[in-house]
Amino acid sequence: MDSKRVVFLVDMQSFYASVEKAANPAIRDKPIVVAGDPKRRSGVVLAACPLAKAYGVTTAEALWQAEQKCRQLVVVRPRMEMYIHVSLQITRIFESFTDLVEPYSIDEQFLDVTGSIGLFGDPWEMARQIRERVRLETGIICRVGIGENKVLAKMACDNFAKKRESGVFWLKKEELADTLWTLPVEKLFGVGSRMKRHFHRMGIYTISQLAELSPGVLSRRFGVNGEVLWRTARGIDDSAVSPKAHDLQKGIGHHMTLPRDYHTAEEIKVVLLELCEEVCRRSRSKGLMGSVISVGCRGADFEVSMGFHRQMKLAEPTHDAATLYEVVCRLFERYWQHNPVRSVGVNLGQLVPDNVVQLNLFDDVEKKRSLALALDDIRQRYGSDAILRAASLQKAGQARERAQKIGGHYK
Amino acid sequence: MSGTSPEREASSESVRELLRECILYGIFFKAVASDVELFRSIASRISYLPLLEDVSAWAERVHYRLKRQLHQLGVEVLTTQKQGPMYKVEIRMNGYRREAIYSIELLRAECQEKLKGLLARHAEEQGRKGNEA
Repeated sequence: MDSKRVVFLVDMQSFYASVEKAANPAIRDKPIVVAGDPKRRSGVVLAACPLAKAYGVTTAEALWQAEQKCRQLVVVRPRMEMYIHVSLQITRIFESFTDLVEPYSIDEQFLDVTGSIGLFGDPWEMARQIRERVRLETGIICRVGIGENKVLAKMACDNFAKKRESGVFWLKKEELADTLWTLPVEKLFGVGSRMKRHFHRMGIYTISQLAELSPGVLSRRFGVNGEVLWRTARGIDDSAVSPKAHDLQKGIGHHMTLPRDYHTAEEIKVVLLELCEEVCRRSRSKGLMGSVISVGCRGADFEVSMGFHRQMKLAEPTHDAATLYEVVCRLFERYWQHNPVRSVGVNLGQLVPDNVVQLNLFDDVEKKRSLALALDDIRQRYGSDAILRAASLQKAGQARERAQKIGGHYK
Repeated sequence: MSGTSPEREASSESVRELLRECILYGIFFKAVASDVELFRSIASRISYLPLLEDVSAWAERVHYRLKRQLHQLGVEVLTTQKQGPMYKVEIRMNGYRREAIYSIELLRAECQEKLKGLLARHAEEQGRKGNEA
């Protein structure tokens, strides 16, 4: 009996741009990009349709650069809420093929269809049906990578299915020498530009060279990650496709790219306070507290590493914004080198349920918690900018602007 | 022995295409009929009512023709329901219950395209008749 699994990785083509084109027939035959507000620094290309890509427009480049490459470019403002809805709609379509659906990102999902083959036909036929349903019901073209595990499915999609007109590719483990191994090492899942440089320095240029190395050599050089990359090159991955993969949360964090460079501690602390408020609000909504607080700042010049990222462990877990802010300020004051700051982030880790709290003789923990929950309730009902800290009304404050957005992009 | 899937029995591609067309024309004729009612209360210089009524009646005829075609293929539309930004359609396909979940934005855009196509075809026909005369 063949005990191999059949895993799909389904990827949506230019997801945000495709949603916009499906909703607006007038722009279907035009080169479009979905981009943030061009007046602010968020004016970067979030998604470009294939027509725009043909002009050389790429994702994540500045909008002004994209407009220079393509004069007739149509710029559409993002609608994150709608993209989330469409992503959930696509998940529902997949769930009619298998109960094992794991969202990997907003536009990529893993499906374990091993048990559905008897009902829907062989993997090729099922991939065709999935593509057809997604196209008819959402207007989006998707590509399907097939493999016997998640990494093979992912690499089948990224390296082959996206480049084929059929939009489907089956990467078989026994055929890796003729398919995956012929590709340059940077095409391997998990190898970025820095890893590529390391490999080149070691004389490794193709995936086959990596696969033929001893895993011991790689683990000695890169630790656990080295062995993971070796396993990926050989198509070995035992991880299950789990619909509950994202249920276990390790940390709650928020990060913000600022609209301009912030130079003074007073300005930066306003944003840090807003981030602490947001992190604590989300922690409370999930009934969690954390005891490891980390803060990160990135300098204005991305080329030169001028930022810092530091963390501190508290004696007691918390989701109180004032406590969090105090620690964040302490870290910030200790490690900030007075360089201009362009992006900041706050994270709360080592999460535990918030139903057990250490009481304190000098602090009314219950009262603080009730106040925070009352604030959360107001924000839940009337919007996140319904009640704000006075500091957020300063020029440096971002809370009001962010209330209109999801993940830093317009709703 | 494994049962034969309904998706495999009837060519699912054509069935799903037909289903979408049927749903689209169903929504289209109802939307135009609703706009007809709206126009009744407006005093306009030119009466658009007969034109809109014709479009609605035409779309309704197409909708029912497609529904009959689906029926012949063993597909029955059981329920249709709006669920937030989605439009859920439950069908019975050769005895199996299945669903289709359409994006309302997409359906609206496609209805708009149908109307545009219809007007373009009409203008083309008029032009041809004019040339023949």
